[in-house]
Amino acid sequence: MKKNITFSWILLTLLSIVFALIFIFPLYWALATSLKSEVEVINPDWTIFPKSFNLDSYIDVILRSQITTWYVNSIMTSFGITFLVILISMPCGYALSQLNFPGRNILLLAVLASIMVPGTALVIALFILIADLNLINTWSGIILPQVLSPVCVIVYKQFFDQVPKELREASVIDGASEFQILRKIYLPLNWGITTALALVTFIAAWNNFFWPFIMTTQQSMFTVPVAITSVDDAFGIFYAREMAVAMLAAGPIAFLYIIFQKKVTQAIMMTSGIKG
Amino acid sequence: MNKYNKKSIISSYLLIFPFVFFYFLFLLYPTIYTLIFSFTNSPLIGWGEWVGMENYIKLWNDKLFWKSLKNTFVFVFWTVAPNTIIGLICALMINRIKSYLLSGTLLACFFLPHILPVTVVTEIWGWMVSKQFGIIQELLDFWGFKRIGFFSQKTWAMPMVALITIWWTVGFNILLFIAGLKNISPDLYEASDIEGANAFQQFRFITWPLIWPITALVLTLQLIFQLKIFDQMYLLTGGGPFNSTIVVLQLVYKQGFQLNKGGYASAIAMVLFAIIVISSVFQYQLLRNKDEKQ
Amino acid sequence: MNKKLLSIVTGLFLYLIPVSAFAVTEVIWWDFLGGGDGVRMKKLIESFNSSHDDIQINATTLEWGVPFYVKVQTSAAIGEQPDMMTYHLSRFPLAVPTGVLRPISKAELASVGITKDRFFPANWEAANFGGATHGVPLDIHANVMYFNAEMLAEAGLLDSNGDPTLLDGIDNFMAGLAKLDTMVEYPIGFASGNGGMIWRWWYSILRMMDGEFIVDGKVCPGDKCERATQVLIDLVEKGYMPSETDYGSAKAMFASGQSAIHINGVWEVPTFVDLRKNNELGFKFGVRDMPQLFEKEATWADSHAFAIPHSDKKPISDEKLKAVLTVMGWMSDNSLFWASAGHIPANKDIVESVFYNNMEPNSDYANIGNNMVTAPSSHVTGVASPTYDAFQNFIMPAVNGQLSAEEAVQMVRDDVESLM
Repeated sequence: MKKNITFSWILLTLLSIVFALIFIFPLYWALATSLKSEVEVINPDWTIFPKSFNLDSYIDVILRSQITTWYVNSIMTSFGITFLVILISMPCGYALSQLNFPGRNILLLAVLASIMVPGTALVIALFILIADLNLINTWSGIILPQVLSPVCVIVYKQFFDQVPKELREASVIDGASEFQILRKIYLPLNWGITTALALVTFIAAWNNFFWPFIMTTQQSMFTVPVAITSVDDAFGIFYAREMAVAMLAAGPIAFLYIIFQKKVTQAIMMTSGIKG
Repeated sequence: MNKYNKKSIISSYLLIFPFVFFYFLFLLYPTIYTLIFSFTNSPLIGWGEWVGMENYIKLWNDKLFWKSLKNTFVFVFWTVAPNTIIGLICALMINRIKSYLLSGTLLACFFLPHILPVTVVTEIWGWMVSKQFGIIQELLDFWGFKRIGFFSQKTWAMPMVALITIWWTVGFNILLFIAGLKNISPDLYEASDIEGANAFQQFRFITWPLIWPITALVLTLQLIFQLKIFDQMYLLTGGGPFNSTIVVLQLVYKQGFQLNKGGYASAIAMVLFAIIVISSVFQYQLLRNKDEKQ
Repeated sequence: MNKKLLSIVTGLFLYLIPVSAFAVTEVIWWDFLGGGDGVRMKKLIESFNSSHDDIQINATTLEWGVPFYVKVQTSAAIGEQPDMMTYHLSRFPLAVPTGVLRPISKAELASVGITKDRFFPANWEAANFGGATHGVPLDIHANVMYFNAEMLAEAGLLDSNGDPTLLDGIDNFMAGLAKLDTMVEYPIGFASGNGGMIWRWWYSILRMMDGEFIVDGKVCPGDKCERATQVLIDLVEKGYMPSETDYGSAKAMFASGQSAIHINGVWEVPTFVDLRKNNELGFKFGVRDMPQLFEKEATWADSHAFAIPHSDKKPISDEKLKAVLTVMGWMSDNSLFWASAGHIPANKDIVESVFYNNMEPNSDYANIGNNMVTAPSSHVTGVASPTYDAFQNFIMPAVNGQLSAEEAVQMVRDDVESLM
């Protein structure tokens, strides 16, 4: 019986690996294309591996476009959003989880309801609002409408719900304030999910296309996703350069993810260890 | 017992204040603005005149609106269930692997697309399916099929956008499912092993019921996200061919930004909002009933 | 010590005075020019900036088409508009009634030497839609035929002067393509998946048939629209043109030698010129006006103009206005360089100059000046208009065999007329 398990185990594992490779192939292909010369790219006798390792496209893009500026914009706004989202969502999730106050149920309902709001549809009103606050083409203008994350609030609430009540009760008896309890007990127990939420928020902030697209009008304020659509500055036949831009846009974030991936997976495994 | 004590209330309000403040400013206010706007004939910026229900009546009679609604639901059909199922399958695949290195690498492969901005995703896939030079076309050639212009063929455009969307977003679902799977105590599986249960039985009687809360959550979130779809559709197909992929949010953009009809666009936005609310509540109730039956 | 301090302070003063005497006016400029256009325009801007101490252009290039025009509109409404921008003249009938363009008075134009005699009559008329000058034309750009000289010669379609021959007239055209078809899979590399590209060629063909797109508020009277659509459908059906091909691929097909003919706008001239210069184009290429297929001679054309966005919230200041006019004047005077992007300068004097006539390959297609046709003057046509959308939505699938010509044209009629 053990032998059967081993065989099917190997088969399934192999299948998983093959599937994962197929899944990731588009990224590989984009990378390979970006490393070919433009002429090689459109040659009917194409190959899976680049015939030559050609960095011309990258150099072209880096020299001809403002990609470093765009990176700064994306990084600053994404960090700003992530920081503010966590800062705002955590206390709210805690209050909903542990405290009772007039309007608590309304708030909970309101948070759930807001997940369903199509942000894109509100863009007209948001645009006018941000303009009235004189924040068009600023980092704050990009950041502020994105600091609301009902999902983070709900997730925090659910994880805080899982923390053993005894811990809180003991602190209350000791005379600790809610802020202290949050900071000293609930937060330390939930670093895992905080990291995970921060990561997911950062990615979503980085990825956000439509809002920065609508409200930035100066090239120097573009975020990376928006800027890609404007680098059709690429001249002539440009597939390799197009892929180079894509790689430059995605590369550093991908790299960061690979570094932090262990943390995220660990974090999730950690939080799954919490028994309610 | 005194349910609310003063100190607790003040702390509560302080804790929720930042969230509520931004909620009012960036969600409630624009929503009300859009609502009022929808009862006017305003252009994109600036105010017009009050016209009452005129926009909504116009909407009712607008063929394109109904088409975009149908398209949105077709898209939901193509993505919500498949995205959830594939997410679960991949999570199961990854979860059973004990080697941390291998499972971590597999997870990275599936999650990596999720961290790409939408424009990178559309650029990469646009290149892959390019009729003249795309590698997918070469594959079709190899298998003896005719080349397909995916985004200019009515039958292919929507499924292709759905496929790309799933590729892009399934990583998120996988993560949620893995968290849920890890929450299931291995003791349960060991006990059933002793009783002679096979893999399918274990899945049906242990895994499935225990991750049902996560599955329900994923399904609901997926529904909401896909009803709100805009970016990929706009970038890949622009709503064509013959309006077969124009979704409701794109209609909002077209009417509001392209044709300068702010009031009308706001009416469409409001209707979409209502639809999302109703669908989500309906689905949530449906899933909860199923949950209770178990 | 006091003397030292004094000299430092004096030095500072002397340094500061010249700087403050030349207060620099910054002109915020938006354009949608990418590709070969973008490269050339950036050079022009650099040239202006280095020759002007008092005015500096701060240029941003935004995405061509709807995104550009939407941004102009929204930013003007909130007072964040640029000081000047490029704009398509074909879009003026749509734009002028919305009040997004600031009229420029005769006196303002005259202050930088711009008068109507500088421009071609039809061009100037288009720029004055609505009874006032809303833009200063920079160029006229039209559709042309790029061809692989070696392939055409081999098919017997090139005469002794190196001009394409035996391609005028629809029957000759088809015969010529049939010959080329024996040599390559797709004789014509054309972006059959791009509604805008289709519009440009389709409209030329319609006008060659002496047809009209809009007459008395009705779209596509008669059956000429269907016939024009059928021409393009036939080209794909017969395998002379690939189906569902995007813009970049069509260019690549020609550049890699897979197609003998490429129908596109003049703006890709620098692309192929540069490729040839870098020895990346494996053949000798030529540019001429498109084959004239029917009774009348016609070539689709549009024009880039410089315009000033109008904003109630924050109208342009006099100081900026002066600077903008200076830029416009300079650009018009120096538009010979712009011609190297393939365009025909709107400035008549330059076109008639020796320099322009010696410019290669521009002089090869200068004839276009005589048979140019621009889009009908209507608020539903022009760049990023409902007509462009309708063509992407209905005519494009027809060309690619998914709809009949009659069905597609009827859908266009319904769609566009409902917005008129």
